[in-house]
Amino acid sequence: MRKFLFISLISLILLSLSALGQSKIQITYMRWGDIREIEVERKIVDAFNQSQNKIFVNLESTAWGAYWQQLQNRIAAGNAPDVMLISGAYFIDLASKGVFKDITDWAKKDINFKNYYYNPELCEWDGKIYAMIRDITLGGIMFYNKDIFDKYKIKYPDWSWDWNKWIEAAQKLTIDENKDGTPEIWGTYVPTWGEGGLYPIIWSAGGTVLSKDKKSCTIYSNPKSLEGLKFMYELRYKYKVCPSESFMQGLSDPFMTGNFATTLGISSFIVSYKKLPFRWGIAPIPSGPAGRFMSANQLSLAIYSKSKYPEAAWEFIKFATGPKGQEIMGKEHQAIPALKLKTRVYFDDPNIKSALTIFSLYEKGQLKSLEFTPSWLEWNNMLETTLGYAWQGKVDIEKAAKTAEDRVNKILQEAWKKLEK
Amino acid sequence: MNKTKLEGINNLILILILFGIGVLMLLPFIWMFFTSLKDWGEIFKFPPTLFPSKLRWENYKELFQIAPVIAWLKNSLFLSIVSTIGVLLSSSIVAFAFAMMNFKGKGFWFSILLLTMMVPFHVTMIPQYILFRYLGWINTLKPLWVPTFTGAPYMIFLLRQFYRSVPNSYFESARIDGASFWQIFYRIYVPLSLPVTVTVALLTFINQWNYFLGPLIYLNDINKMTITAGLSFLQGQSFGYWNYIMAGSTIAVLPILLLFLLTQKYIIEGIMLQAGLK
Repeated sequence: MRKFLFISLISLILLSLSALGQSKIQITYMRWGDIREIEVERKIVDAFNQSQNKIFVNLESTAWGAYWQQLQNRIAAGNAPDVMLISGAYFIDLASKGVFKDITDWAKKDINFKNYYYNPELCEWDGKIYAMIRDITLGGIMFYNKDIFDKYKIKYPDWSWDWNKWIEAAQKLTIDENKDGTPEIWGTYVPTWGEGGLYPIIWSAGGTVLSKDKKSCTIYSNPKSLEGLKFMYELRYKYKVCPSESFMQGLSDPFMTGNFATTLGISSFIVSYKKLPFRWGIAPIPSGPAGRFMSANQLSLAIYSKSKYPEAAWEFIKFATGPKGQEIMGKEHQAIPALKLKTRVYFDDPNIKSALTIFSLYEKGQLKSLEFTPSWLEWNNMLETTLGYAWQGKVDIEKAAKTAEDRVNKILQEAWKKLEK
Repeated sequence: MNKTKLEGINNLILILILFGIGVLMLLPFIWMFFTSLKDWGEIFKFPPTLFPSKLRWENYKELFQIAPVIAWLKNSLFLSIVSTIGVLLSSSIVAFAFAMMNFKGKGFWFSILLLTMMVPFHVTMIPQYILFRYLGWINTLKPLWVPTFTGAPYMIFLLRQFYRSVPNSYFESARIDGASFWQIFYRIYVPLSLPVTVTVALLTFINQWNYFLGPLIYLNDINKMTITAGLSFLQGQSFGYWNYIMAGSTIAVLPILLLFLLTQKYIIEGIMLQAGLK
């Protein structure tokens, strides 16, 4: 017995010694982002590296434009990062190819999903969990230029606004000061891309973008979807309170010009609006015939299936989606934390405070996901480009919607078929 | 109307047209420079203005504060210089062999060389990436400069054509006098081909300085980026820091502009050289 104790004591000492002598496990974490987003991410990674002494995370980063290409190369070469930031646009495509590690058991053991704004579309595939939810971006927020509203003595947009009130105010605020036929100040702008305006408008009209099983597109065949599209079209060509896309010439974010009384947009714009030379505010999207619907686009963190240290990677994901990591993210306004406990941190800024009530729509189901499918990016691009002909005034909206629906259906059919194989 | 007067008018019209085209070419650069001096609000002014209402030189100072521009410039400079040396050394030797030496399968190997020029980068991108990963070169500058020491097909082609235009009697008399191939190469052909060598050097330097896709693929640490790739970090998913991007672009263009002014003569000669190739 004594001998046994002695041996176990010695081996215990040896073990702990070897653990001490061992250098830290190194893992890599890759994300896309602009210089500020990466700066905030560095803070999160540094906080993790300081918090414990077994794992060291290397932060790697690329610009948004290069991320997916680089990731694809690295997956092909078998050295994808241990932890990667994932958007819904790619989640199913990658998960179905076995790129991510199945973390169902760990997630069920370590995570209390009730504490999170959790969208399974970004984390689950085929009944298994492959990623952990990280943050939220709101879409369809109404930004308004207080200087313009004050100058023409119009009441700021609020929760009482519906589509009629919106048009009415926009008409009063579309102003052609020098009478040359082109307004200098525009009443409103609705982005023609899904997250920013297109989807929220279709939903608020009572329509749908995809069918329930997500296998076909319904922007034309569902008359209510078409109603939403018609509203967007009429803002441009009937009421003339929103410039046509050919007039916009690809201007990505018109609100910053200071010539727009209201625009719809997403919450990531807020960071860049802080430096604007005019006063501005945030309101919910005006409610449509079916009510008020906006988008909540989430990102998640996944582990590479061939990672050598999946446990260490999971430790980091737990930290990044835990209270500490989420607080840093929210405080620096990188994105809205998915951890409910820390969501408020994001809205502490007086300028953004009013968005908190908008965010409460999440619990009511009025903030919808972007309906992710395989090949999402492909059909989404097709939808936006085809409808674009209508926004430019080249074809009428019904025709554009019908063509778009046909084209999207073709892509969707193929994408699902490929997946079932 | 006499002849000289008519010619004068013709010339005037020509000058005016060329001047117009010149201004058109310069416009993006002028736009870039003035945008780099605008403040945040003015960049997005609609309709856009060319001249900033107030010159904001702080953009440059702030750019250096928010981004590791100095590291980016250092990387770009290192890559461009080392690659230029690499391409010059390797390509001129290979070109000389193709031009002056007779060996078995010369025509075959030369067509293989030309064939590699036809394959677009996107086709070889992933296999190359896998190769460099096995060498452990990912996230280093090596994949971007080491290959230059194995020759650049287009430059080999360019040099070969020039070497072939040197009268054969030089080569023959040197041979008769007992010079080795190596001696003929660096005693006679290298000094004679100075204009084309400078052209190759300049083209390589400029290409490498402007190289965008490679750094984006192989590098994933913001401090290891080159200036052209690094600036893409100022362009986010939904908006760009345009005043800083333009300030960075202005800085990135300066070395090339300087190089051009210093070596204008050679560049123009080089263009004529390339145009003369069939």
